[in-house]
Amino acid sequence: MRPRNALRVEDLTVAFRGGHAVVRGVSFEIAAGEAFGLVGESGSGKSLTCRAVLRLLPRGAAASGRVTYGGRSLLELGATEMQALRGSTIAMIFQDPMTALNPVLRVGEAIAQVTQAHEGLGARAARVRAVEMMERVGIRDAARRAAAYPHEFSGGMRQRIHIAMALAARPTLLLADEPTTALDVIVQAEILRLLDDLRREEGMSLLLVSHDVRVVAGLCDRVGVMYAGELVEVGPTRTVLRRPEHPYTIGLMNSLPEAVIDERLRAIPGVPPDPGRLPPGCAFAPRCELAIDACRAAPIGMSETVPGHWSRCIRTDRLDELRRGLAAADSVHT
Amino acid sequence: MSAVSTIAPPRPARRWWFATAGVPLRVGLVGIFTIAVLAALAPVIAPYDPTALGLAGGLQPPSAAHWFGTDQLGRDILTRVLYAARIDLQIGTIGVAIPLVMGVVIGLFAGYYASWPDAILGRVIDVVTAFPFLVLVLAIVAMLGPGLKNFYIAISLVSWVAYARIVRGEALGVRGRGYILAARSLGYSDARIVFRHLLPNVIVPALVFGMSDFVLDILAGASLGYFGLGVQPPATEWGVMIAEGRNFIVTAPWVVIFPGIAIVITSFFVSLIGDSVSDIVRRVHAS
Repeated sequence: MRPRNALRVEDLTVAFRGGHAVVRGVSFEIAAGEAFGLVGESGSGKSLTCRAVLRLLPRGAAASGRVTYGGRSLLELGATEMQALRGSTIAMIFQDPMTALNPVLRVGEAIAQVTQAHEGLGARAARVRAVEMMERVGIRDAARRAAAYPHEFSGGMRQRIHIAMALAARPTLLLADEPTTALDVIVQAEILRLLDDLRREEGMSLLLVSHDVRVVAGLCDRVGVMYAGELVEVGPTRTVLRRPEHPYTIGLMNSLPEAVIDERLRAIPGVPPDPGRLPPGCAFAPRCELAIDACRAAPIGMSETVPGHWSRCIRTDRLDELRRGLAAADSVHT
Repeated sequence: MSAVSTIAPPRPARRWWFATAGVPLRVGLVGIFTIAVLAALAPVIAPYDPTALGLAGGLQPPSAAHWFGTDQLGRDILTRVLYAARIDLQIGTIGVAIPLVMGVVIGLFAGYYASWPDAILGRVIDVVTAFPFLVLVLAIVAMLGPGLKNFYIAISLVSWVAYARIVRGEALGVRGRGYILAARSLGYSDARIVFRHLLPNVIVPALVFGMSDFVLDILAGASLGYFGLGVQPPATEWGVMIAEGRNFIVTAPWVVIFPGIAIVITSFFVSLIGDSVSDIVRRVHAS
């Protein structure tokens, strides 16, 4: 049996050189075989959190804090060890399947390279494995299609190939950064189902990053909501989406088209703060209907409102006022 | 055959690529191949000894015995054009191959790592390109002494910069693409990423430039020959033949015309290949 490990992210901060922290003190844990979702709007730091785990941050960005997987501290690992880990133990899939595949490599060759690099497989064995992987991700006529180039595939098929590459060396943790955002809705559903099936078959842990609550809802056991570089709420997917404990999450749910039946779509007023000009207190306070002086005075800590469900809000007793009209959001969890 | 074919039945698109290539490309390739064969077979097909003097007297016009005429020393020009082709093709090939490899490797790593390796390369490029190409080559050969080997050294020292600049620019653009990040996320070594993922995506403009550089190198060889710094007699090359015949250009134009035509035809074929390749690349990029 392959080792089953937990990913533990503690107080992760990502800052750009000479600039401001764009991920601030993020902590969460993903148990072995668990699927964890990170939700938030663009710029909330969810993708950087994800990339920080593999230490693939953009130039000029540095991560601090602790990230451990299977007892190894990823942020302190040597470059060679980290490289050996990437792809074989922890793999990642990216948003845009149009650019994530090398245009000059035949797809079979691209998948074969992964096992050649990590398992030292010979060219022939690696190609056989590549065709198997293509079949597993649902590409028909895989043996013939292995000789095709990426541009000969549709977006959904390319994302399947990208997934096949990520899973070829049988990683135990998969990081998926907006894996379906670039795809149309029907294909999106197919890819999510595929990811879910593969994850269960392989017993993999999954960190799924998405701006779309519905994507996370369908796939993840637990979810974390990010706002302005911070986690504002963490808990079991069901309760976070059905009974959010943070005003931002409620706003997020209210802005889903499904949530609102008889009135206009409700957007959250205002825009997220500039990372250089964060308010002294709760980052969401300037946009929050419930904000009081205490919210604006000092940073708010995480508190456990229900066992296993944490929220960065001191006004949880008044949240019911905001939750009205959220009942329709039940349709989301399916 | 490769392992793919044991799994995959042959696809229709995998016909012999030559049959699917455009006409200009085919003409260019066949032309260069023909010139190479003629050069290789020079000792067999040339009618005379290239160094034999006084054949039928000097400066004889083209005739049945001497198709291209004879030069001022009475040597057969057809024979010498054929022998010269061996050296000219060698100048073009070596003069492109060594700088190409040097420039591509250096440009790849500078472009991939960016930051300080790239800054250093940028300065070196500035310095080398500050001098006119020929002046620098001449200066280096003058320092090292005449001869083909030193000419190759000089060419390599100077023209790798052009390749490095091209490849570096391309690599800087490609390094931010998703598939390079994806390659890093798969735990590939830098060498694998640079040579197997970056290189195929940035090499083509350098190859296209190499085609025109091929012609430039032949001309540079000719210029050096003119100063007596290139090929040393009795060996010859087209540029040297033209330089030697320049005094007879009015009275015996065939002395310079035939090597001139040889240069033009060779350049033409090489350019056809270069243009076709860049056309193909542009079409692929557009789709």
